[in-house]
Amino acid sequence: MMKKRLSFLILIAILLSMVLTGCAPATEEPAPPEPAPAEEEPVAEEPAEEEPAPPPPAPEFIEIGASIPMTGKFGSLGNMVLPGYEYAVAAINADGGIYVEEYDAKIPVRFTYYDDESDPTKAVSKLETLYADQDVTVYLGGAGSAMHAAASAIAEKNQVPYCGIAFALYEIHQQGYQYLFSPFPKSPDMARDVYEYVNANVPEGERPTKVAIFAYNTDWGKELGGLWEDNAAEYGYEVVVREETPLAPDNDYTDAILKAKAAGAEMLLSMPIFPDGSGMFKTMAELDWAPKFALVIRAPEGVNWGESMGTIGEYVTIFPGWHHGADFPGVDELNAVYEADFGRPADLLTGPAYACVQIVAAAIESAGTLDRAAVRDAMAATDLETVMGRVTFNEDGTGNVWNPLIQWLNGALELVVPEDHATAEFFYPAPPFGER
Amino acid sequence: MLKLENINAYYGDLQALWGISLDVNEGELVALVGPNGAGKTTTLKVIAGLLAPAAGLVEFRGQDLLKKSVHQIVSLGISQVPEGGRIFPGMTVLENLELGAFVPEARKAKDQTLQSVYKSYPILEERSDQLAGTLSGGERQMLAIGRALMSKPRLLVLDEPSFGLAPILVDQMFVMITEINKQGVTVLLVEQNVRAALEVAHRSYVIENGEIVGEGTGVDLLSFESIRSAYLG
Amino acid sequence: MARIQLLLVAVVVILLACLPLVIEKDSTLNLLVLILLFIIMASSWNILGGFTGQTSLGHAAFFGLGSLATRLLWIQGFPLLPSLLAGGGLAVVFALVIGIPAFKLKGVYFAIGTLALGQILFVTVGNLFPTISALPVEALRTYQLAPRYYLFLVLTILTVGFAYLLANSRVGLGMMAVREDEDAAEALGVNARRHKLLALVFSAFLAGMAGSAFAYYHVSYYYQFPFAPIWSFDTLTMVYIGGQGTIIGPIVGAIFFVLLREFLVLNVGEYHLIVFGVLFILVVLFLPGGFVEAWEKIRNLLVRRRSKRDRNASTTA
Repeated sequence: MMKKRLSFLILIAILLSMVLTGCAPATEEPAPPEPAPAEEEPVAEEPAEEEPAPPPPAPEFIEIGASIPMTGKFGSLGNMVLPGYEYAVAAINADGGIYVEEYDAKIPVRFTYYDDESDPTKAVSKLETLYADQDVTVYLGGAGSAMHAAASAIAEKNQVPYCGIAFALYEIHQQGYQYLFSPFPKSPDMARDVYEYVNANVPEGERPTKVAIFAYNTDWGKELGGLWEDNAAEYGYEVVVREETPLAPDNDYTDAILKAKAAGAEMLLSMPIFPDGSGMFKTMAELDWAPKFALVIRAPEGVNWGESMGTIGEYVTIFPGWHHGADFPGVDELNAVYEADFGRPADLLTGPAYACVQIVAAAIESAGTLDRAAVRDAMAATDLETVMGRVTFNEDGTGNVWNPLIQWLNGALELVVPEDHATAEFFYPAPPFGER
Repeated sequence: MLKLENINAYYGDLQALWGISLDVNEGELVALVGPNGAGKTTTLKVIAGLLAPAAGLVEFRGQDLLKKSVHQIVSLGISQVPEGGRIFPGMTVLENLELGAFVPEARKAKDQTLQSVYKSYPILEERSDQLAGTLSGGERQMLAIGRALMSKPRLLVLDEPSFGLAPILVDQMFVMITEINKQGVTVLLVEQNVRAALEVAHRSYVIENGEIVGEGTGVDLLSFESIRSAYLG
Repeated sequence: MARIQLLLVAVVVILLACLPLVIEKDSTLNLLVLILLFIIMASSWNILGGFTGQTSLGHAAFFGLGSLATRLLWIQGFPLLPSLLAGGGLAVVFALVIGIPAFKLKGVYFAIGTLALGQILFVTVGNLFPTISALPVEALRTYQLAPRYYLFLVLTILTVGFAYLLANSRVGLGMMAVREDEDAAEALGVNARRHKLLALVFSAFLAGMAGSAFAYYHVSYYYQFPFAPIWSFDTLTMVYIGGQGTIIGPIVGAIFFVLLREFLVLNVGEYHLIVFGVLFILVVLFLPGGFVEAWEKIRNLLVRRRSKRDRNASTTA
């Protein structure tokens, strides 16, 4: 009897699968900023052999897609990245779009993004969807090294140029990928600059020479943690504690902090995601260990750090790649539109995200086509003044970009290094928690 | 054929059997009767190899059963119908019967045995594709016995075959058991229904509190005053 | 199997084999791969859970181990076929190691035990292999979806075919007897422990092969991902929905589950978890035999009505 129902059920199942796959998944489509007037489907004309060929009909949109962690572990980063993309696309479309020589027309950009919930596997499948359904010309990246590491392989597989910021993972650029570009400071920059900046701003003898590193046991955590340790001696520092924790929002740092305190560590180098970092600093305050200098990447990048941490979060420094006080063309305009929507100047990662779109637009224009390989080549040849300054790319897709040091001072994010862009003076040493 | 000698068996610290000895000869229909909790089922567990006795001897056709595993005991030709039948309700009648011939020796003759079981119990053939769980109480018991016969047993052990059956079915059940025995299968029958068991059995043992307290032909025991007053009321 | 059914299965297989030639969109093929993957997972779970009655909540462990072994070997440059088989092999080794202690537990304790084992493996692999596993760049450039699809198709056919043969074999009969009544099965000469262990090994090997194929298929994931408990729960849910202990149930369950989830994710987002939770509870409470049972009931109704009509027709004639 099992045999008899077999046949019928297989039939049903096949029919069901056909019906359901037939319903093409509806794509999430943020309202196209400048909906071009719906042109009639151009009728293929008889090619007149003698006349010069007219440019082919332009596509309605240049499709750009992104998978961004808007929720989950990297949600606080993704929420700073997305507005950067959106404002930049809006600015381009307000101007009619990007001029593409092949079609001799300005074509507006349609930007489609998905929230991947900080799940790398979802990011991968969203990028595949964007490729299959939207036929995107360019991918924009999400946020967080763990996400980019998974996503960039898809870009390479599909041969879609990929511009990503808010990740410092250097290793992924050493895989031979041709389509990955990242105008953002990388681990080697961060591992060098932190010591150089402190040495340049703190006289010898007052420097926080004993270093504690709290890093995640992830691709990037191991990479940057290792570089921080390797570089220390060269600049006159000594790593006295190096702790590895899983990438989780709720690690218990009590033991690590007690070790650092016992070893007399004066400098903290770390990379926690937001809830984990706030927990780390609350525990530090409880155990009364206030390093004189703390570089904490990621957690303090959002304005919520200042709101929720108060004086505990003061004096922490960051390498976010950008600051709204930067003195570059376009920054004031970005700040103005951002301020109108959010009531504050643009967030730290919003600028680099904006710059990504600037780079992509310039590359498409210079390629003069939407052919992805040509756009890639144009991106590789980028030499552009953006809201994050001049950007060029190395062979491996890493960017030659500036690496400003940002510090939390009086409840605000201030640019403290380099001096010519500074909005406030670098504060050192950070006082004990009780004296703030 | 089957011989138990001075079996002592325990459940944990609790002694359940006290020096049980009994014999079943080839071709006999032997009943083991006694009240609830007297040790009947425990005795069967020892025979099936499911419970190892602390002391004593169990032999089947000259072989020491205590050294055999459950499967080996089935292979030797002892087949049990557990209390309530324990058929597999989620499987078809045919699958139940096939499982009766699971051990390799029985499997060889499976088709032949199946025909003879169907001949004895035509209702099983009629329902062979039905799930066993949909059978009536009497049919289930029939299936349980049919399944046990599928292993071509030399000794068929029945644990309370009348349990839970309607009175009219109980009589049919004992007729069935007699028939099986007449066809040459030795039967050890464990029953609470003392009168019916003693009537069909060639010989019977009475067990109480884990000890054999009486032995004789069915008719002999029926005339025992103690048995009459104790079980027949 | 009757000739007509054999023919039908053949037609379905041929259709599936031709699909990559007519489907242009990768996303459709990816969806089919997902369905095939879950048919393998569900059918393999069904051997242990449906045939043998040992409900495991740790099926992801076998899937994960299969993917881990294959991915590590294949990316190192091992030939594909041995790498794939190594995945199934590792899953079997693990099954043998855990099988003997795990089957000391029965019923719900077995389920909890397997859940715990899966969780331990999930966390351990996350700590031991924290980095991304992306295909090497040459493999990315030459990546083709069709061979992956065919690998899954072949594995699916082998898995379902094996499950069918098993269900109609003596060993399969023994497994089902163990599911129905372990003691009664033992009394008939069925070695319950051996049958449970065999079911576990078959189940683990097939799930491990699904993991192997996943390692060959997936471009970029974290090693921990295939060990995630969600693989176990999804698999279990689809077998329950489709119908435990049958051949067709896991197939129907997997197709239904994957398509419905795809549809729900697009339309109600994260709430799809609630939908599946409710669906699962409804099936367990009111339809323990899943869709297969529902179909049986409907068919019986139809047959009864038709025979009644026939009878009426004959009396009026």
